[in-house]
This record gives sequence, C-alpha cells and structure tokens, in this order.
Amino acid sequence: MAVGDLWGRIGWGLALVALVLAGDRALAAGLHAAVMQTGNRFAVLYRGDAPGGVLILGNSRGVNTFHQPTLAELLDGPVFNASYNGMSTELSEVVLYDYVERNPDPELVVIEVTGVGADDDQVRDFLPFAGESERLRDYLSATLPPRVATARRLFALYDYNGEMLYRSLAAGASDQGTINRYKISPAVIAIAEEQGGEPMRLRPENAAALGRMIAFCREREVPVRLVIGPYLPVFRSKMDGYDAWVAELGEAVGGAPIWDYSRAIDDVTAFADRVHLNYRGARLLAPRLVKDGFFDPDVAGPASLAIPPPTASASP
Amino acid sequence: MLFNSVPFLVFLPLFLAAYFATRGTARLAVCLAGSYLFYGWWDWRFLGLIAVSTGVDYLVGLRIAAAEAQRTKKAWLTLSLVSNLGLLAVFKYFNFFLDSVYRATGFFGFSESPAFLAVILPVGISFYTFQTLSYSIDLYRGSIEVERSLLRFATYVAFFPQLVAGPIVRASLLLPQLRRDHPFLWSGFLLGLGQVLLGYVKKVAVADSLAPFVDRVFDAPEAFTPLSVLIGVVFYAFQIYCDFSGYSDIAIGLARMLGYDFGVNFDTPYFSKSFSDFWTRWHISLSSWLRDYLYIPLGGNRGGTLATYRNLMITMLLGGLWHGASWNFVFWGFLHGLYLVVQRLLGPGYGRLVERLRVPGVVAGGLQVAAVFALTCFAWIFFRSPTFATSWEVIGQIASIGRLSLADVQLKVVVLKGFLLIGALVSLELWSKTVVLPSLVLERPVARTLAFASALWVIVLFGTFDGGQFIYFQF
Repeated sequence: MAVGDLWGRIGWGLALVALVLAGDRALAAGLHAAVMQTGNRFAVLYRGDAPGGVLILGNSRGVNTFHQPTLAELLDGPVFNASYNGMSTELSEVVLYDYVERNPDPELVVIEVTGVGADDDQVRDFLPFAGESERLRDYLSATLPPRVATARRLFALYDYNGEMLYRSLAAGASDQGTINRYKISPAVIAIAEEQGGEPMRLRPENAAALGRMIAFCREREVPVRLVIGPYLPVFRSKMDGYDAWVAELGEAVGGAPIWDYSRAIDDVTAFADRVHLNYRGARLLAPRLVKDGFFDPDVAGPASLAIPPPTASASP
Repeated sequence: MLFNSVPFLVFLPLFLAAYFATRGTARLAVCLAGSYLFYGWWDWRFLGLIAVSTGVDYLVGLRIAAAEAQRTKKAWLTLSLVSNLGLLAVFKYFNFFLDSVYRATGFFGFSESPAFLAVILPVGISFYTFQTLSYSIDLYRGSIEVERSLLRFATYVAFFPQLVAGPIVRASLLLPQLRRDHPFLWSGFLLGLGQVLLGYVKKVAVADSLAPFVDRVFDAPEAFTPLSVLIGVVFYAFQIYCDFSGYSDIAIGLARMLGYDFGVNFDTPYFSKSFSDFWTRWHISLSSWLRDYLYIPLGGNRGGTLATYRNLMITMLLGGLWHGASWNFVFWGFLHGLYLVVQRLLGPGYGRLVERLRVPGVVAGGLQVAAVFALTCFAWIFFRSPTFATSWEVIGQIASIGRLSLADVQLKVVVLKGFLLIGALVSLELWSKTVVLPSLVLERPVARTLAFASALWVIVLFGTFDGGQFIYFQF
C-alpha cells in the first residue's frame, strides 16, 4: 500500500470521527430546540409557560386519574398535570421545585401518592431536559448508572434515546389531554379476580421526598392534597395490607391527610387496566372530586378518610 | 460472544490485527483460535461438541474420498448423517420427542413420567451441523474436493462470523476461499464495514426497539386491545426480519472485511409476490440447503402434482422443525407448506383473472405483496407464541377487531417509535432497489462518510442497549 493511500485512509477515518461527533452535537441541539417548542408538559414547564392554578404530580396513575381538560373546564381555572409514567416521588420533588422556579406559584398542589413505591426506572426519559435544570441534572447524575453517563459524554444524541422524544413529537399543541382511551378487557378482570393482590411499596427515599415537598409547599403557603386514585374494585378488594400502607405513609408525612379515592369508582368500564382509570373513569371521578371540595383550598381535609366501597361491580 | 456486546467490540480489532498480520497456516490458526474463543465465550463446554462434529466429518471426508466403491462411500456418508443428526437429536430434539410420546401415551392412560435429559441447547448447533452435513453430502456426490487440512476444515466449520446464526455457508463456497490468502483490500473493507453498520442498525435500532412491545403482547395478549395485538404481530414480523437479517448482514460484512464472500441471505423478503418468491428471499442459505439436500432428493417436482405437494410439505415441515423443538414450529412449517401448495393450485387462476379484469400490474402486484405479507404474519403468530393456546388467543383477539381507532392503541409512544423505524426501513429497502449501494459506498466518499455517520447516529438515537440476544441463536 502506498504511503499516500495510507494517509488518505487515516484522514478519511479521522474525518468520519469528526463528522460523527460534530453531527451528534448539532443534531442533539436541533432535537433539543424541537422538543422545547412542543406541547410536551415538561417542555412547557421548563419554558416557564405553565399556567399556575392547580399543579398535579404523580406517576401514570396521576396521568390517568386527572384529565386536565375536564378539570380545567369544571374548575373554570388553570390546571397543569405534570405527572409522568413510572415517576417516583423523588423525581416529582425535582419537578415541583423546577416548576415553582420558572412558573407562577400554583394555588394548589395535588400529589397522587402511589409513586412512593416507584423506583427510578423512568428517570432516563428526562435526559432531554437535563440542560434546563441543574437540579434535574444532579438528580439524573446521581441516579443513572455509570454507563449512561459514559454514553452521554460520548454522544449528546443519547439524551434523546427515550420515550420523551416521541411523547414530544406526538404532543401537538399540548399533551395535557393524554389519557388511556381504551377499556379493560374481561380477561384482565377475570385474572384480577383469580389472582391475589400485590403488596403496596413504600420506598423510604420517596417518603422522605414527599415530606420535603409538603414542607416546601407549606413554607410557600401553597395547600397540598395527597390523594390515592381509584383501583379496579376487584383488584382493590384484594390489596392486603393496604390500610397499613396508608397508615405508614400518613405517619411518614407527619399525619398529613390522604384523600383515599381507591374505591371511588365501581364501574369497571371506567378502567383501562387494574390500576388505571381511562378517559371515561377520569370524567366520572372529576365531578366527585369537585363536589368533595378536593380542589377547594379552604377545605382542610377529606370528610372521611374511608370512602365506602362500591355496592356492586358492573359488567364491562 | 454477542456481536452487540462490549467483549466483541474489544475482540474484533484484536482479531483483525492478528488476521492481517499473518499469512497461510498462521492465519488459519488465528481464525480457528479466534473462532473458538468467540464460541467458547458462551460456554467452553460447547467447544467439545463442535470439535467432535469437526473431527467426525473430517475423517468421514477423507474416507469418502479414499473409497472407490459407491457402497463404501455411502456407508461413510451414513455415519456422517447419523453422527450429525444424532447430535441434533440428543441436544435439540430428544426431550421434545420424549415429551410428545409422553403426552400421546398419557392420552391412552399411561402416566409414567419419562426421564428427560438435563442438557442445554448448544448455541448454533443447527447451523454448523448443516454446514458439516453439506460437506459430507457434496463430497459423496463428487461436487467438491476433499479437504485434507484439519486446520482448514476446522476453520470452515467454526469460522466465527457465521458460526452461531448463519448464513449456512456451504463447503463449496467457503473452503476454496480458505485455501488462499486474502490481502487487505480497502474496497472490501469499506463494503464490509457498511454492511456491518447496516446490520447493527437493523438489530440494535429496529429489532430491539420492537421487541419489548412484542414480548408484552405475546406474554399476555388478553391484557391488550385487539388492535394492539395486531400491531404486536406486525411488529414481530419486522422484529424477526431485522434481528435475523441484521445478524446476517453483520456476519457477511465481517467476512467481507476479511476478504471472504458469504453470498446473500436476505433479499427484501417482505416485497415477495408469492411464497415461492418469499423462500428465495428469506434465509436463502437455509431454503436453498433444504431445496438441494431434501426437496430435490425427495423427487422435487419430478413425480407429478401430488408428489410435488408431498415433497413441498415434507420439506417445510422439517424446515419448521429445524427452527426448534416445538409443535408450534412444525405448524409454522406446515402453514408455509400449505401456502406453497395452495399457491400452485390457485396461482394460474389468479393470473388469468388479473388478465381478464385488466387490473394494472402495480395494483395486482401490490395485492400479492400484501397477501403474502398478511399470511406470513399469520404464520409468525405460531412461530412466536410459546404455546398453541397463546396462538389461538392472539388470533381470537385479532378476529375481534371492531374498529381501527387510535384510541384502541396501547403504549402509543412505543407504537409510534416502532412504526417510525419500520417506515424508515421499508423506505430504505425500496430505495436500495433503485441504487447500487456498493458503488455508492465505494465511488462517492462524501456519500459514504455521511452514510456511515448516519448509521452511527441512528444507532445512538434509536438503539436499545440491553444486550438483547439474537432470536436465531435459539435455533
């Protein structure tokens, strides 16, 4: 091989590496700009375009229990749902602080508390917003495995290798109306009837985060509602240790009242699966919440912590 | 060692350096040592099996070549067939047959539980036994020369690029290439590298992105809406295609970087207009193997219509069984056999109908592609399902689709990503029909550089890096 050929090939290899790295940074910057312009709830939040009013935080149960357009219409005021699938309370804490730094103070913070059992599985999805918040960046660095940190150092595009990119692309003007639209299948109900309930989890880190969130809101004089959304009745009835879990959680957050709507919906067609309402369910629940004074900051707590169980299960 | 693993990314440059630094016997030794290291990375005990298979067929080859009487040659060939198929029978099918007999006798009231063998299926055994079988059969037929170098023969059997999941490279193709040294060729290296990158895109970005949705649907179809189940089946069609053709691309590309030609193993099979067309474009090295060593020896299409149907059915049933020790795979093979038979029955009538109705060729062709794809997907249901019960549940769910509404799609974000990737793949394959990709890579440095960089960006942006196994390893 001629020396000229060799240098030519080495030069091509170096040019390829340079192009890969430069293109990676340029594409990542383009994707970041694109994501931040979408109606994705976290893009809105980090842009500072959230409306104040009621702020809802939680995991997928937060997404599917509180249908923002329905609530905004009923309350005739701003509502912003910053829940995300699999979101742990620790991550909700970061989102809460970032929210109040960039947006008008909420008038009421609603926290669907079942995220206290969540691990940090979904935190990688938040990488597209790492550049927007030092707090989020620190949390992600502390949570993600070292190989992710290495991948991020090499490739900026890696931040967009997750669901958040597609959620942003699909968000349109706003993703606040995102909710399960399908209904639970009879087969899943039958399985729930046959199987035993799953134990409720409470990660101490999440409980501590929830306590800090409550203290933070009280300090800013923002009322907080801790709430448990509805479960499929047959599934809920088999949740052994549920009451103990609620008591333990209540104790962990200094006795703050928990609005327990876990048995509030008895119509199985209002569920998408065992643990999530669907659009119909969220629409059924919303007036009940309003009627109970759930969104009224002047109401100190639920009239009764124990919401009566449903009388009978309707067929799907 | 998986192609999509860190150990392999360390192994490859070291192997390439050693390969190109050596010549002749030393290079063969490097190839064999590298291949055994690659294979033994899973479990060093697998090496014993491949060594036995290699040794038996090497000796059989020498004996067949030395024998003068046809009967003697036949006896040695029989030994090769018995030993190779015996290995498969013991390690892959023994427990399956035992279980089937147990169930059948249980039907008649016998309930004695059989003693199953506690063996694990060695990775790639179906591939390398078919390779060594092809050597013995070709030698018996006199279509290739005997290989007298044990080192070369062992390298042929264990050559790492194609060892564990194909393509099934026949002795007539690879042994002559192993008999000469291949100098480093920049053009071959670039073409190979391009194909390797394409393979990684298919595997890591497409197949592994589709896998989680498919797994969830087939694990619990009852938890999904009918439309989501249908999407799961379509996703599986593309998952298995990208997984397997991706592996083939990486294998063929690696071989090309080293200077070897492994041929083509996939040729846009989902654009097939008939099932005979499909089987000349899907896993070509296996379908041509079955054609040459099973279908044609059975009589092919020479014995009349019924005999042709019988031969097609036997070939496809055994082809199904080759994929795995399960009645689901056998039924998958049966369906493809049935498709081929029905196509022979109805094909001419369809042609006349199209002609009579003056249906434009594009429309008629499009309908054929759609029909072949739909029926292929139907067969994939049995291939992917762990049990027949799951298959029927999936089919029942799909049959109950009442409407096509986005509202009925679960895990929308995952589905969106899946269709985005499938759309890009189909577009790329359609485009590849209009351009000569090798000349694009070799003659246009700017296009090549952009193509290689794009492949890496796609892998980083869409890739799934959980070390997903290649589906065909289990076969």
